[in-house]
Amino acid sequence: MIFENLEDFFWMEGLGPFVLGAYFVTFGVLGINLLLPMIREKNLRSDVRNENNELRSDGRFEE
Amino acid sequence: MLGWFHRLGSPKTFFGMSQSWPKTFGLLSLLLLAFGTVWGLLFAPPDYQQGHSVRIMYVHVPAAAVAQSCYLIMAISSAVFLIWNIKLADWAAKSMAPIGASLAFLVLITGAIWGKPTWGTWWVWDARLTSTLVLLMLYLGIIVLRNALEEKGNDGRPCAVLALVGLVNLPIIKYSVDWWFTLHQPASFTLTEKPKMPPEMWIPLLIMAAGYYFFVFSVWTSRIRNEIISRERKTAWAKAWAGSQ
Repeated sequence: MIFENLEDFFWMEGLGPFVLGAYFVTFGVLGINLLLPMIREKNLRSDVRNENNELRSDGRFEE
Repeated sequence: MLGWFHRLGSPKTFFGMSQSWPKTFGLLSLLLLAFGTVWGLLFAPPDYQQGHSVRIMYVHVPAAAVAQSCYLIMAISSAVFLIWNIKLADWAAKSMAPIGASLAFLVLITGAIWGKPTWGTWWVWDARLTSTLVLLMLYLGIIVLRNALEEKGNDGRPCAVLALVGLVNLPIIKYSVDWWFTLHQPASFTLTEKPKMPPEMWIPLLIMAAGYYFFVFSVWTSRIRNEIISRERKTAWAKAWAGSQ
C-alpha cells in the first residue's frame, strides 16, 4: 500500500478531499443508476399484478 | 444471422433471453469496480507531476469513454429503428439516454474536481470540456424531446433523428485535444499505442473501464426489460412475469 496510515490516506498531501470527493460522487451516480431501474421493476410488477387482480374480480381476465 | 437479429427484435424473445443479464453483469461490474477502486486508491503510484490527484483518473477516464460509447450505442439503436422499424431498438435507445446523461454529468463533475488542483480552476471553456458539455446537452435534449412527444405516441422518430445528428459531436470530443490548443491532456490510453504510463497505473484503469462497461450493460438491459413490460403489460406472458414472484 502507498500510504503509511489512514490519516495519510484521507489527507493525500492535501488532495484527499478532491480525490475522495470524486469517488464519492462517482459511486453516488452509479448507485442511483442501479437503484432507479430496480425500483421501477418493483413498481411495474405490482402494477401489472394489481391490474390482473382487478380484471379477475371483474370477471374479464383471460388466460 | 439475420434470423437471429429478427428474433432478438421480438420483445418477448429479448425479455426471456435477457432474464439473467442485469444480475450477472451487475455482479461482475461491482466486483471489477471494487477491485479497481481499491487498486487505484491504495496501491497505484502517484503521478510525478500531479501527485495523488491522478487517482481521479480511475473514475473520470472510464466514465468519459463509456459516456461516449453510450451515445454511439444509442445512435446505432436509433438507426436500426429508423431503417427496420424495430420498436425494441427504439426502446433500447430510450433506455440508454438517462444512463449516458448521468455518465456525461459524472465526467464533467469529476473533471472539474480534477481540474481544480491540477489547473487551478474548476472549469474552462476548453474544446474538450465544452464538447463534453454539448454531449450532456444532447442527452438531455433527447430525454426532454421524448417526454414532450411521448403522450402523442410519435416520440421515436424525432428522437432517433436527433440522436443521429448529435453523432457529429463524438469525433469532435475525441479529436478536440489535437485540433485545438487545450488545457486538457491528450488521451490517457489508445488501442493502437503502447501506454505511456506504467502497468501499475494502466491495469487498474482497464479494470475500472471493464467495470463501467459491464455496469452500463447491466443497467441498460434492466431498463429495456422495464420498458418492455411497461408496453406489453396486457400480454399473457407479461402478466405471468408479474405473478411469478
